[in-house]
Amino acid sequence: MHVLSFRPEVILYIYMASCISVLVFNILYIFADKYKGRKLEKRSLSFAGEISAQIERLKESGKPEEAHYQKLGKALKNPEKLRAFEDSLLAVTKQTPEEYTAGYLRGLRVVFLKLAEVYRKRDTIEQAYFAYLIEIFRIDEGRESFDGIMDFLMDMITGRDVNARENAMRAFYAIGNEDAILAIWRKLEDNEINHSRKLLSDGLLSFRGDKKRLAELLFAHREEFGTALFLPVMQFIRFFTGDFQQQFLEFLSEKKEDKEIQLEAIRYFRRYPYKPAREILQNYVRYQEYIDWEYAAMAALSLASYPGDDTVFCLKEGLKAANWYVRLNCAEALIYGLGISRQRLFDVENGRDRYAREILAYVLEKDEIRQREMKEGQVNV
Amino acid sequence: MFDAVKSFYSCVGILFVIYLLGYSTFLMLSVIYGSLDLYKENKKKKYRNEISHDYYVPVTIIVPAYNEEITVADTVKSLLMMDYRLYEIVVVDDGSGDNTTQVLLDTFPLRKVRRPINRQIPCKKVLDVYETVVNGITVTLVRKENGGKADALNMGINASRYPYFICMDADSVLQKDSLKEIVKPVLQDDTIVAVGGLVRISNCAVLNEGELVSYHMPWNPIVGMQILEYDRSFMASRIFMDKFNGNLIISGAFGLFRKDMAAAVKGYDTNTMGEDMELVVKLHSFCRINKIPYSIRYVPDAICWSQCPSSIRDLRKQRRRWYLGLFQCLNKHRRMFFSPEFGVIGYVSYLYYLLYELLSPFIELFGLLTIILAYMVNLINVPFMVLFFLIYALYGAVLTITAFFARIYTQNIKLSFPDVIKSVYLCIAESVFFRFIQAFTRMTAFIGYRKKKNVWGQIQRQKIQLKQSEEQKAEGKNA
Repeated sequence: MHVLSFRPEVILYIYMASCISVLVFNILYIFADKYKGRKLEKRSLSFAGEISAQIERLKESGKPEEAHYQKLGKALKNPEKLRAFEDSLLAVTKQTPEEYTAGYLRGLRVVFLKLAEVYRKRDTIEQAYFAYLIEIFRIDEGRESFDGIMDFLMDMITGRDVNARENAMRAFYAIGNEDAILAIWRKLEDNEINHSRKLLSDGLLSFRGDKKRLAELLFAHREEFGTALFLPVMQFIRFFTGDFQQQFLEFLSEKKEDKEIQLEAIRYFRRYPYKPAREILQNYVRYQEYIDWEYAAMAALSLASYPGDDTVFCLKEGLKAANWYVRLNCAEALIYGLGISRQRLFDVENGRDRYAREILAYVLEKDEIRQREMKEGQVNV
Repeated sequence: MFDAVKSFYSCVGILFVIYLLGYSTFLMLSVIYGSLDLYKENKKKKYRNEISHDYYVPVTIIVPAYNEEITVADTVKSLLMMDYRLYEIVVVDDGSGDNTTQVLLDTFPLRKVRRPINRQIPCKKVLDVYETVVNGITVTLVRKENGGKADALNMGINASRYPYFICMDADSVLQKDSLKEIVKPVLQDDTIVAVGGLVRISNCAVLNEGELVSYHMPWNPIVGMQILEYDRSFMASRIFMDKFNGNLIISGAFGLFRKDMAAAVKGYDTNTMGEDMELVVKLHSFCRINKIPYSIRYVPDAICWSQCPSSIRDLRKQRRRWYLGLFQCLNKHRRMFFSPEFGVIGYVSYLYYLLYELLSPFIELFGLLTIILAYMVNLINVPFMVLFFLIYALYGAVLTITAFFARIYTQNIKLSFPDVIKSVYLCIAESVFFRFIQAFTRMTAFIGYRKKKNVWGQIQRQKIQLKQSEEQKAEGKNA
């Protein structure tokens, strides 16, 4: 069978050698990891002692030693030591009043400024870790002008690694500079980077600066952003303030507006009822057969915040919709949202529309079970 | 005449060398890439390169059950202990002949409700719906007419409330943090349509409240060899294919899907034995044809513990199902083969499954016949052939053990020295014997194909080893 001029088994030997080297690497890694783990524990304790001593000094003389920070500047170039430092500092801050730890952390800014230049040249994983530490230790918090740390973080925004980008963004949210956030949004838009919408909106909610100013700033620049970047801004506003009712209403009036933007506006009017939106929301349910079912389903839920006979009538009509979700949301809005009694739903329960009857019976039954279980206490297994 | 035979053997030799080198190269790249990727992921974890987020993607866990009275209650109990905030459980009893429904009714305070099911995917008729809330988690039991696993899963999708669903087997247990892990890609990327988790064999593991407390390599070589085979597959080739969005399989034992996309492709195909693979291939096809940006990911940190067959008979049954499922799926989506429309899926993934999974038993059989023929006409160098076989077997064993050790350090598993020795011996045994069982099963898979096309492929079930604290035991007795 040996028909070729080359020897195929030689290739197998080479492949086998490659696999064996990976195997050896894996085995060595297992032992090295264990060894490093033990070493880290020891190191962690040593930093804790030093940090505590400096905080004591801060209490007494109002200032930690300059030499301590210089020493840290050298030691923390090693990422393993940086990890140990993180553990130590977190352990110490748990036991120390915030006023003293804040003083110690302020002094760390100079160390981090120098280290930013070092970690800029490292791999993405270590860069992301450094960004994480900037966030948790609130380095640069409240800083208004750009510095080396912010430049370092900004470079990570356009990188491919999602975790690194998210860590850098979280550091920016912790810094609390509105202009920096606007700059990030522009970078994401210009570089066509799709960062998760949920992470963006939740990130904005964790912003430590003036949230209202941030909301106004991002909203004012909305023309610069596509739906993927503007939607998180709307979600952030929804969770945070009801001051944008007039602006959000315009999205519903504009026929060419993006569907997702309009759905988000409908959600907004559920949380913050607005009189001029009432009829628009009712019309979505009323004319559901002519529009996308998602508008009607979302509007039905929002109508739970607009009590009144007109809403009840509109939702009862919605129970006859062809779409299952529209029917369910109408039933839930009537029973859970508006608290309409069974007697007032008599006409639907005994009406001719089977689908309306079925969905209503189910939601009523669920409501009864829920109330009974609340009385009995929740079941645990 | 002899020259013609010689030319024939030259061609056969070249083809086999290309075939074997192709397979060896793929395996080597997978194992090396998988190991390095796991190392990188481990480093990421160490240096806090993770999305740690309070927000939870709402998820429905669908548990299709058919004659699962032994394991179903434990499975649901374990699901209620997940470290996750927003999820519901939907158990679908696919017309079981045993007491599956009764066991659940006896264990949980389920109440019958008149729930209309949103039948967005066609499935068999619903018989009864029961609901309850346990520990703040909604548990729904749907009893339906028998229609097979795919039909039960489709019913589960219809009955689910949340935008993402997880399919799993009624004999499996999810590790406590597995939901958290499997939704991570969804938080990272809005285009995710499906995520596969890592399936590990539970026959040799003891779990306590969804966490692994003890793990040993088993004495049963059938189970042991499957553990190593799973490791090679889940820790190597799936990671490798994940890098180019090329995975065609998400195990039916544990996978997360976006409901609207699954509904858009009409859910699971009820006419195939490999409904899990078929859904994934269909999603690739749907998204690529409609030019929808999408991603199908694999997360080795999301772990599901599943039972594997412990006898050759059950093993052959299971593998036969898998093989026929593969055949049906590749046949149904044959337009993917080398089609530019499907890109890397058509050029690499489909080709791999076609050549090295589907056609391999026939190619191996052909190889065997040519060896016999060559021996008869004295055209074979027997010592070289034996040597080559041994080298190949050793190579396979090295690959498997490399993947095995990569798993140990990434998942913080502690193995005793005898376990390590057992693993090495099983790696060699897997490489030498297990492949023959596989090859034989595949070669004979089509016998009785039409008759058993759409039946639930069940294996002998065992009680899941869930270690309970004394307190829990007392609570269980009181309940």
